Amino acid sequence: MKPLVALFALAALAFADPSPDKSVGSKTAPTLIDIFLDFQCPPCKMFHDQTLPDVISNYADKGKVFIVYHDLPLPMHNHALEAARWANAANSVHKYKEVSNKLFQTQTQWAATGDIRAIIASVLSPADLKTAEAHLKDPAIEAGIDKDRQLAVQAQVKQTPTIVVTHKLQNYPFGGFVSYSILKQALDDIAKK
Amino acid sequence: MKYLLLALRIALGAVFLYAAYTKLIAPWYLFAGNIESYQMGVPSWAAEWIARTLPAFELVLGLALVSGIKLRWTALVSALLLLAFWLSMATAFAKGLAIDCGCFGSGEQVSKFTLLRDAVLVATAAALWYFSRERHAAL
Repeated sequence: MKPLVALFALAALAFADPSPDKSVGSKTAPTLIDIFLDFQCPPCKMFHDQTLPDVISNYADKGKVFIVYHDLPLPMHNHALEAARWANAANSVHKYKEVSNKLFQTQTQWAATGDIRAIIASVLSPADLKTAEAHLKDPAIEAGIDKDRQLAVQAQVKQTPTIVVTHKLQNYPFGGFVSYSILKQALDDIAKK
Repeated sequence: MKYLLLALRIALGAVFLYAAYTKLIAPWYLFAGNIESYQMGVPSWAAEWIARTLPAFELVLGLALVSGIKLRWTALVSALLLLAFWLSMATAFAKGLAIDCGCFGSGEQVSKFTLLRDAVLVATAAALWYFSRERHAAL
């Protein structure tokens, strides 16, 4: 990652106002973590299931970091874009996180069948499902995903998951799966800088 | 032959020195993240140990190659290390993992190019080992 370009792209993010449903923690936290995810990517599922819960409970919930999720559906995954659309449409009923969790939990299932609606229907109430489904065609959904993609290009993020830790305008990119054990040591060291 | 050996070992040594430099100027945990992203079942303590020691090892290997100290052994160790890198990258590439290769710091994905480049380096190190062994036997 070219430091300067990435620095400006991600520094801009620090002043952006992400949807509360696509972020965790306090915006005033000293460290920002931008996470670029593809719902169909297996290492993203590993990161989401094995690393993220500890980062949320030990860092975000304690005000040490502010986590922002970004959608980066890769062209190599045939249902990833549709999954990202559904997750963002579910944001209209403030259920982005619930839908994200379910999509990762059932990744192998819908990746094989392509039936994402059935998965979403198991998380949302019929009324919320109707609202989310109506939002699927909303151009703002596509625009939001495009915005994340643009940001990924500016920050030279080429793979998922990519975890970019920003502290005092210095960024530390982790490309690919990273365990909690390593990320914890990184966050503790970065916080001292 | 003498000058070919000299050129090969300086070129290979320079590659190791550059690889060590790019890793040593960054925090160790970024390289540990690269190692983990290969998903080869390496436990996180082992990824940490490799990330903390490999750059220094590459530095020593680079200096030994450039100076020509114990050339037969340094060439052999280099060939084996580069072969291990190639196998790791080939496995990741075959699995379809779009990951950072971690070869020279961050920012370069595992690709056919990185595989080819590493294969050339393996062949260079193997040639160095073979010819330095021949020269040693002739003496």
